[in-house]
Amino acid sequence: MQSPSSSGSLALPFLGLGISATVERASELLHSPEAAAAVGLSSLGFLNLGLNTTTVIPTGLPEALRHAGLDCVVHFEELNLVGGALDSQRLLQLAEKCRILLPKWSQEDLGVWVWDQLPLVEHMIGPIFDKMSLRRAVSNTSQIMDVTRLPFLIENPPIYFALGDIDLLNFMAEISRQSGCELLLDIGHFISYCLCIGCNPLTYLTQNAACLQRVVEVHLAGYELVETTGCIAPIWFDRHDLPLSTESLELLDRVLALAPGIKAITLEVEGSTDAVIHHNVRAVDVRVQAVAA
Amino acid sequence: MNTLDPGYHEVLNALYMGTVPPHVTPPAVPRFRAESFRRRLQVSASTWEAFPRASFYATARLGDQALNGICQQLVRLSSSSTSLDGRLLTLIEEAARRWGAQVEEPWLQALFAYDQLVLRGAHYAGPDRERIRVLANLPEVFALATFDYDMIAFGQHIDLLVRNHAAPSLVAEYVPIRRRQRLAVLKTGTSQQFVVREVTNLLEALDGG
Repeated sequence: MQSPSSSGSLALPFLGLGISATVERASELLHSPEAAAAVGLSSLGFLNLGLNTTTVIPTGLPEALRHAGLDCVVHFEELNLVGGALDSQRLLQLAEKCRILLPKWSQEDLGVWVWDQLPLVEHMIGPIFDKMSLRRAVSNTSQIMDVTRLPFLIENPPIYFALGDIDLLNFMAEISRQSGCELLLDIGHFISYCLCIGCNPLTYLTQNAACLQRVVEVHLAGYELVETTGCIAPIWFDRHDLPLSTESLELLDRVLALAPGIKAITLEVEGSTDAVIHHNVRAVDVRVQAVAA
Repeated sequence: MNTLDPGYHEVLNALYMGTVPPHVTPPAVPRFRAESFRRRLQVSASTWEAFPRASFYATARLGDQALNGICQQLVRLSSSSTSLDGRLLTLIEEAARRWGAQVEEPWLQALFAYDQLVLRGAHYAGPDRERIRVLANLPEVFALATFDYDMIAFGQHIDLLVRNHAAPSLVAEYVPIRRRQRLAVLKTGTSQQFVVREVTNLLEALDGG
């Protein structure tokens, strides 16, 4: 992980450790010392704000962030990077909100999140890892960067079944190479992919270290594994309310060792108790401090 | 308008229909089936919540045809609808309503409409609203619907079958009596639930029938 003094090939700033939040939750944290203390806000360098076209940015939020010495990045929640052409109107509305929040960069998971007017949410369709999707992702990603005029990170999505003939890391690295976007690795989502294709996450990561050169941000959250009949490996479920697993932290350590350009780690904590958030912040902050030093 | 690239539409359709597209390679098949199961389960649960009697009766009489039909409507609706609020649950409910409105068994159609009336009770705002309200002694806000079957008896009978965990063969034996029936749905002063009241005779007097 690059500290502020490192001179990496990327011109993006070092943000350190952050947590995910809605804009309403961010406003609450910034205006309530008790709420801020409960989650360990003083340890954080930034907030990762969820953003969709219906988001109403609370008055004074950008100023409150600056006053608290916090940066922000935004996580779009409804842009289809694959599966079809981008909804230009939707993108313009999101770009407008970015101009208010002034994030350091924006990000979105690869996948189909909205079908026409229907937000699919947990029924999203993951990317088909093939050449056609790759071309579409390059085109859509380039368009997002053109319109928002912000650096853009593509994130590996939750994977419940893997389709296509290209593997995840090479798929993402190729989009980055062709479009100029940066990469975001979600550790839990990565585990879900590895379970689907039946590989060891640490081994797959190490064997494809070259694909990690453009990874700028890492996401971490709890998850749950459910054993079922009919599947060789357990089914993975995203659980942002749970403490981080030892396996996630081991993978984080490996990613930090292999990816030279990481500038930010986001803990995704929606639905977590303050105690879980504090626990997760402490577990990762130690690692951030160690690398930054 | 559906703007999904080829392949994605096929995947979405297969996920809801419980099938596996040909391009899904064997290692991915168990996962695909598991995900399909999860999604169809949600459609099933949401449909039962919105149309409890109709879902029970349709499943008993038609088996998988009911869930498949609703999923088919959902996929069709997702790619065409711009008038709904866009929530998946709303879409599922609408898909179930549309499927229920076009099934071949008229009493099943009526049961979908009855469930919707009883659970949603859309406010009646016809030009004769005030006359009906006074004649039938109804509150300011009420819903009104006309059926070709005795839906009060049918609804109660289905409730009895649900409570007794009736086997499909028992459920399938029962069809409602054909009788024109007009129902008003209202909330009483203290009740949080809708109350159904038959107003057939009162309104027939109003109609001159």
